[in-house]
Formats: sequence, C-alpha cells, structure tokens
Amino acid sequence: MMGRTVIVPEDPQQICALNPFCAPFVVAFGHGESMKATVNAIKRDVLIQAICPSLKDAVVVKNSGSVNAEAVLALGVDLIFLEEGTYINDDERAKLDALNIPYLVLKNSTIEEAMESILLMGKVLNAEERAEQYVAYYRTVLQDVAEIVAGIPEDERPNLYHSVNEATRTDFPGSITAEWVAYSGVNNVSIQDDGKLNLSGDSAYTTLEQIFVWDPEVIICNEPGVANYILTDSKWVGLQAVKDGKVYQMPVGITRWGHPNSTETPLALIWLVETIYPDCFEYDLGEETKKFYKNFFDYDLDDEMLKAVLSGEGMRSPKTNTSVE
Amino acid sequence: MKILNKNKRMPLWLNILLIVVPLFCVIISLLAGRYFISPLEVWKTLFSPSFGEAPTTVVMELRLPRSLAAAFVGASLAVSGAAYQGVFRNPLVNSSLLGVSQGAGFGASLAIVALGGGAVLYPCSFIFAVMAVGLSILAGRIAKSNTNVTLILGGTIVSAFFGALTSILKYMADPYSQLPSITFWFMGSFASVGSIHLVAIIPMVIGMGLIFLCRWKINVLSMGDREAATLGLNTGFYKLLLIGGATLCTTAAVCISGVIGWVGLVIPHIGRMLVGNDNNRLIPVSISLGAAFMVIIDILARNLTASELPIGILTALVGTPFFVYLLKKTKGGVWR
Repeated sequence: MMGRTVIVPEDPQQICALNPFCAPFVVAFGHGESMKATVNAIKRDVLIQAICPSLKDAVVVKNSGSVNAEAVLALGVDLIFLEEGTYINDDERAKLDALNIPYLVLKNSTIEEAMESILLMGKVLNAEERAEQYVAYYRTVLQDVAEIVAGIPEDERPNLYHSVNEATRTDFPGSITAEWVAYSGVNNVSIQDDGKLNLSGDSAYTTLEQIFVWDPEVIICNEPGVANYILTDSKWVGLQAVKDGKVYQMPVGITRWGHPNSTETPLALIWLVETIYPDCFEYDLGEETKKFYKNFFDYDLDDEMLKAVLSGEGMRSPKTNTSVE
Repeated sequence: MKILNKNKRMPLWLNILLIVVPLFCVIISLLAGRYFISPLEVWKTLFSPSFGEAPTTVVMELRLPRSLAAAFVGASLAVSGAAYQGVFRNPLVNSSLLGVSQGAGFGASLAIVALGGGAVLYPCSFIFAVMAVGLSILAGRIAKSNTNVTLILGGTIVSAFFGALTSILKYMADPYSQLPSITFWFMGSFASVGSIHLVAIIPMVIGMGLIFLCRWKINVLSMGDREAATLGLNTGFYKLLLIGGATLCTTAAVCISGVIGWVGLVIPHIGRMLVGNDNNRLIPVSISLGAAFMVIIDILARNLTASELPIGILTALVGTPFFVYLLKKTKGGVWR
C-alpha cells in the first residue's frame, strides 16, 4: 500500500503494531507472543489479553500520535505495522525511516481496504490461509445480509442513528462505519443529510438539536455507557427511539463491534440485522460469535464471557476517558 | 467632581431598556435553532409544558438552560471586568485576572484526565479557581508592598503556573478522547449546559449583587487608594467586597462555560462609550450588555455551522476588531 516496496523478514520475531486495526490480527495470525510493542487501545481490551496473556507485558511506544523511536530500537523490533495517519506525518515518517526497520502501512478506511490489509498481513505473517478464511467469512456475511435485507419491504426499514464513541459523533458518507451499516438496509440519518455534519479528520460530529430534527426510530451506540446515558438523560427525552426504548448498546469483544478499527465488523452487521428486524431468524448470534473467536483466534468463549461480550459491559478495562458528550 | 454625585439617577427609559434588551435576546434564542418550533408553540411550551414530547425537551432542556446560562455568564464576566478595571485603575485588566481562568482550567483538565470527566468537573474547577485566586493574593503579598500592581503581578504568575500544569495534563491526556475535551473547554462552550448547571447562577447573582451594591464606591476607589482614604472610605473593606464579588461570579461563570475571553474586557469599554465613566451607570449597563451580547454570541455559535462553534473563538473574532475601533474612536480618552 501507499505504492511502497518493503522487504520484510521471513519470520518476524519482534513485532510492533502501531495500528490499532492491525494489532488483533497479529494475534489471530499466531504472532501474538512476538508482539512486543503496541498502542494503548490494545492494552485496554480485556478479551484480547485473555486470548494472548503476553500482551500484558507489551510496551506502549506511541503516545499523542508520536512514536518513541528509541523505545522501538531498544526492543529490537524487526517489523512494524503502521497506520496511514502516522505515515503521512512527515516528521514521524522521517523518524521511522531513520530506524531502518521495515514498516508496513495498512489502511482500513473502506471495507475493501480493510480486507486488502488483512490479506497482506496474512502473507507477511505466514498465515495466508487464515487471512483468506477471515476475508471469505466477511464477504459471505455481507452477501447473506444483502439477500436477507432485499426481502424486507422499504417501510419496515427504520431510520437509524449510529453513535460512534461519543453520543453526538456519528457516521459520515464514505466512512467505513457508514459502509457496513448500509448493508443492513436502514436509513442512516446522518448519511442522508450530510450537510448537517461537522467533519474533523476522520470523525464527524452533529448536535443534539439536529438529532431531534432527524428523530430516528433506532439509535445504536458502540461505546459502553452511551446507550444508558441517552435513555436516562433529560436532554434526550421525547425522541422516538428513546420513547420506544429502541436505544441499543452494541456488543464489545476484542474491539467495540463496528468501530472504524473493529475486528468484529461482520458480527456487528449480523447483530444489527438481528436487532432491528425482529422477524429475522437467520442467525444464532451466540453461536456465530463463539465460532468467530474459535475460528480466527483459537479461543473458546465460555457462556459467561459471551454474555459479557453481547451486553458490551466490562470488556474494556476501567477507563479514564470521555465524558459522554 | 460630577461623578461623585451619588444621587444622580438614571433616566427611566434607560432602566427599562437595560431589562428589556437581554430579555428580548433570550426570547429570540428560544426561537432559533435547527429544530423548527413555531413561536406560538414555544409560547405554549413555556407556560404549559408537556414533558416527554420532543418540542418540550428542545425548548426546556436544550435552549432555555443554555440561554439563561449564557445571559448570566455574560453578565458576570462583563460586570466583574468593569469592577476590576475600576478597582485596579487599569483599563486592560479583565475578569480572568488573579488566575481564575487558568485555575479553573486546570481543575477541569484534572477532572477530565484523572476522574473521567462528567459532573465532577464543575466542583473541581471551582475549587482550583478559588485556590488560584488565593495563591495570587499570597504571591502579591510576598513583595511586602500590598499594591495593586503586585496583585496583578501575582495573578499573572499564578496564571502561568496553572497554565504549565494544564500543559502537563494535556501531554498526558488520551489524544482521541480527553485532549479534545480539554481543548474544547478552553475555547468555552455552552453545549453541555443542562438545567442542573443552573445552580451556578446562585454564586453569580451573589457576586453581581455585591458589585452592584458597592458600585458607587468604585468611583471613589478608582481615584487611587490615598485619595479614597482621604474621602473617608474604608478602602480595604470595599476592595475586598468588590474583588471578592467579582471573583465569585467569574469563577462560577468559568466553571459552567469554560474560558470565554474578551467579554470582561470589551463590554465594560462599550458601556463606557455609551454612558461614560460613572460606575453608578456603568455597572448596570455592563450587566445588561454582557448578558445580551453573550446570548447573541451563543445563538450564532449554535446556528452558524453544522456543529457547535466554540464561544471563545466568536467572542475574540467579534471583540478584537471592535476593541481596535473603540481605541481609535475614543483615542483612549475616557481613561486620561
């Protein structure tokens, strides 16, 4: 990607994943133990640490968008996974180039890009088969859901608002979150009306009053606690979705399902279809979820863990971040 | 000695105007917004709200608390600016003198980084704002000459100190979730104001009340400590009352709205252009103008762009050119 040619070690021993989207796949592709350095997000995920306990000792070498090059050198890293944002920053790139450690820039701003990145990672980490399995599963889900949705009449497809991380942050046209939500056939209010969004970088914000104008029938929230906040705060009273109690907390596993950097986006789509179309019985979400972690992470999710994942509670270690608004 | 004439009353029409203008602005702010509600419906909602319905929530929970908060914050900042300028005999000081803003800012940042933000932010910023004022006064006293200049100096030092502490927190903050909240707080906003935050109106009213009641004394104090003492005024006592009142209402204002610059500097000067240097008139005019100005700015902040514009940006954009115009127009004459 980025038109670069990189010579990578045949069997990398010390991996540094500075791309939050890539890090779980390093584990999935059997190199979790070699991941010596990573980003803060991974250190907060309960499930990925249960799958790969050695991550507890991984070092966080990137803070506030800046990589600590000396720390990377000290670890003897022989392969780095990078996100586009770091690469396009001239200072950061110069620093990395000086290290003489091969680094791969992987993008995931669309579903296609994400799949491409995963296949490339599979090749580099000698796990092509599993990478192909994952992508094939992703494609199957997209296709199956598209078929199910095709059979659902227009008037049964709700107006939906997708809260991303924060209550008033949402999808915008061209974002990967808008792309996967679109497969569910809903009318995603913030996409239909994108002139009403304030775009800053790769996130889009709206205002509460604008949400009142849209008056969505369903609200889905990926950050634990936000759904509960929307349902109980007096400023949200009177919205259709709140009146009907149709404000849903999305599951949280290795990542927050359906988050821009999510590993479980296919599962998020299944969850959404199951949630908004009560007559849809095509999937057993619990089974599907267990199979997912078994197939791609060799991890047996017990029933208690499954419940926690689906409820979205307790899967991220105590956080110090975000007031919800 | 015209300005010492205590009994000079303001004309009735001016009194009425001072009340009507801010009220009018508040009413406009209830009508303006992305979500369309007809004026008739707004009227009905105000007097017989049907809770649980969307229009009621928009008017009573989103627009009214913001509008009231904006009015009181604007009035507080403007009147404490006017009081400080008079007491310190310095036209360039403003309401965040004595480290209030930086202290409150540090408290808020600390709440965001260490305590997860939310409701704890308000008491936290209040405590640190009060602490900053205390330290400023102490720092000013260390020089053993308790003059106005050392006090202003103390405020500057303490502001810089808390500014540095805030920078450390910014460096430590999570760049995706916490840093934007801190940055946004420092630019000022009424976006998160709900009816619960209106508690802050109580200290604001007390502070403004103190200044309002002592407004005539500012005229005397502004002649200088020695002259005021000669005129039989207990300067220490009234300075304490005025600075205390101004600090109290600024602190409460900063806590709910974040740092909003320029209002405390520009509004009193606009007031001077309109009614002159007499604090008997200037104080009520500052209260009224500050309230109206801030409500209008908040209407703009809510409606100019798709998302919220930070208030601090707007007040600076509107305030600074106006200030330059004002300097040209008066040639600084009011202060000579």
